[in-house]
Amino acid sequence: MVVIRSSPGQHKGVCFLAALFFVVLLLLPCQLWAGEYLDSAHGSTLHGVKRPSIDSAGYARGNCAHCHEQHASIDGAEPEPSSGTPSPFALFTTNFDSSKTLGPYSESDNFCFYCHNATASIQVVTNYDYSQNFGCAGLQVSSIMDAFNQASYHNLYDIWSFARSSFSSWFTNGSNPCNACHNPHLARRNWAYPSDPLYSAISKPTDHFNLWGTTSLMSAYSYESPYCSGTSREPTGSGASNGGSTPDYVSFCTNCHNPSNTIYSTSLGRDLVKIDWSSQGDKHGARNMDGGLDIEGPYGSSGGYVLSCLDCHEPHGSSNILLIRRRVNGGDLHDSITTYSTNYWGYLCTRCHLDDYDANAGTKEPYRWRYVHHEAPDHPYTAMRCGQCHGGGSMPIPCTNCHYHGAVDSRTGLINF
Amino acid sequence: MIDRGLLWILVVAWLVVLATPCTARVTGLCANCHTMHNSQNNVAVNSAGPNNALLNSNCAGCHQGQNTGTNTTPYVFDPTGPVYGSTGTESQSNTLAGGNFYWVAQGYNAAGHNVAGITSQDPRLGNTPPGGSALSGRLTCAGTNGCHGDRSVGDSTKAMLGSHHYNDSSVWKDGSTTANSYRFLKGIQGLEDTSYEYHPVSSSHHNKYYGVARSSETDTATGTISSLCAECHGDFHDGNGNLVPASESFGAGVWVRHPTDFDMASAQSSSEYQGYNGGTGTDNPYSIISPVATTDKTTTLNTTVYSQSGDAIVMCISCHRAHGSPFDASLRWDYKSWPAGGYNGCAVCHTTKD
Repeated sequence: MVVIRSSPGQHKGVCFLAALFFVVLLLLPCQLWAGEYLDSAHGSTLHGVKRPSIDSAGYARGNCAHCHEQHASIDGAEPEPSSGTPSPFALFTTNFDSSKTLGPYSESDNFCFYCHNATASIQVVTNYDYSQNFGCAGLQVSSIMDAFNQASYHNLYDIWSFARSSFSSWFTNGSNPCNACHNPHLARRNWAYPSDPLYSAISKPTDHFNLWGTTSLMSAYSYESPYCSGTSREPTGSGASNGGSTPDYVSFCTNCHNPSNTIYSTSLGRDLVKIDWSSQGDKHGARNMDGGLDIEGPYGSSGGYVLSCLDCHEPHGSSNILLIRRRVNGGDLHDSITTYSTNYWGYLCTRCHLDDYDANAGTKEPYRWRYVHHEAPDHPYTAMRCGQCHGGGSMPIPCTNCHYHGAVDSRTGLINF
Repeated sequence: MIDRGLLWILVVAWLVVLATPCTARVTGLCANCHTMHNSQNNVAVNSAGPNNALLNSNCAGCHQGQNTGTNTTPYVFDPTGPVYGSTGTESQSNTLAGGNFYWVAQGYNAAGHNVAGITSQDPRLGNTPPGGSALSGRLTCAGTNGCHGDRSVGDSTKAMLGSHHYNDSSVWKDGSTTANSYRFLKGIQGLEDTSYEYHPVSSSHHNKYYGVARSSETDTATGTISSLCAECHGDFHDGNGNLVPASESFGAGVWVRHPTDFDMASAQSSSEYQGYNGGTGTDNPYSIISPVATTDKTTTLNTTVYSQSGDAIVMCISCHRAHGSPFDASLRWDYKSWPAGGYNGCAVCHTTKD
């Protein structure tokens, strides 16, 4: 027999370690790890999918049958809503009506809208826009469909059309355009945990079968989280200042919106402007700034920031054109931007850049930009030969004459965005 | 003179042969099943009158009882209430591959096939099977309105002629005759587990189902176990527009109904099926909870999946029990209660949906 002898001191040490181990075990959070679907918003037993006709038939919440009918019928009959014919992906109705090339959308246009709709017939799911949910704005819309049905929206037909050709390994004619960005079996309740990216609701189109943004974060860039309210940061006022609470939306959005892809917009009647967020592209992206920076907090004059697409844009739809958020960097835009060629863009720009009013220079008027253009120490344009920029019209001129994604002043070579 | 050692070997060999269980062919006294005059000790064996083929009883009469693992007659109806467990494969379970008619006989109509002589007619469906056309009468075990035997013969007993006495479960059933058909389902192929999957074991002891790796929804996949189901539930198995929308090609991943007789290895839209039953896409362990069919017609048991072409074929009975189960739609597991409770057998194939 082997006898292990230990001194009293050793014995006490072992006891202490055992006790410590036990205490650590007790302190560990009690977590039950479910599978990917059960962790998703749709698979949740508390919040998941729930179709009335299926619920009344006794199916548990989150069960597949709330969305799918494996044989286009149950017990020999088609549960409500009855479309009369079997639908792609064995869904209870048509996934997407591809004849619907423009909004506004109604419930029957998109399978998702049977729930993500303030007056949905199946299950009313409340969702707010990004400005409210992550940016501390007040109420404007309370569902995804309502978010789409605004002045500008991520055109679903165009997404569907682009995804069919670009992501054909998994996106088919019968697919839903929402799935280009969301995997319904994975997407989590991000809105309920806005500052915890582990609850991401998005999947990159090129990596549809994984969530995106859980560990790939904006903190990988030279990023400064914008203000949400006061000096608290996005998302939702409790975000990390370095983007550690924000998914990497740059990589996500540029999965489609990059310098290579030509994407046609039915809404705009033209190809979308290609976005180059690299060091060779826009200054709002990774390109180094030139000159100084007359800027609002939390940004510093040293610059060098890479912005998140969602710092300025809504993902689904907006009351402004071009999906511009209604609240940016801790403040609501003064008014809606409803046309492209306007100096109302100042409502957006002034959320981060010093206008004459904030600079207390130039015209000293809000939403005017004489100081930064002509008077600041690093002003790019000398106030002479006015007509070269201003033409013969009245001042000020529309911001979009010079500033837009990819804008370069052909006369001076300045990168203007 | 015979060497004593050799003699000893021969004796042992003979005893081994005698001790080897029969391969499901009916054995024993004729009187176990037949009565010559429908009379025993001056009492009618069957008070309703003699049966065809001089049988003591009908299908349900003989195949009624509780499975113990030693019974050679497979019991498909246990009126005392069988033990099923979560999936019908647990150690306490005493049901067989087809499940049991007990629950449907209790009036739980969705829990199995409402077969005449065992259950009352399904008040919801009448004689019209979901996905198919109305039968000419009540569903029966065999014959024209049944599953077993020769389905061109009207009478259940006559449809089974030439089956029980000629069965050989050691060979691949090629469907050529009723006896040479999987479980006497005439025309259906497969390899029969000699204990009818009483306490099946993935690696050694289960049925081997025949499937076809289809490339078209109009392929009726003759000879497969799913094609048998399709004889009544046709829309669920084949037919133009029944599985695939007009804008898609077969196998592209867009189904309008859950496919059967389709090889998961051919799935283009997702790779999740390669994780079948916890595997990685090569030599996955066969699942007795959600089994798959194979195109392989040898008597080698398919204990692994994703090991050869056409060995991961979805079939109707990947999800359903043919006779009945405690669950809605005669499913193998309690799908309806999942995810709050129940069991997610779907995740055996849909490995990311758990």
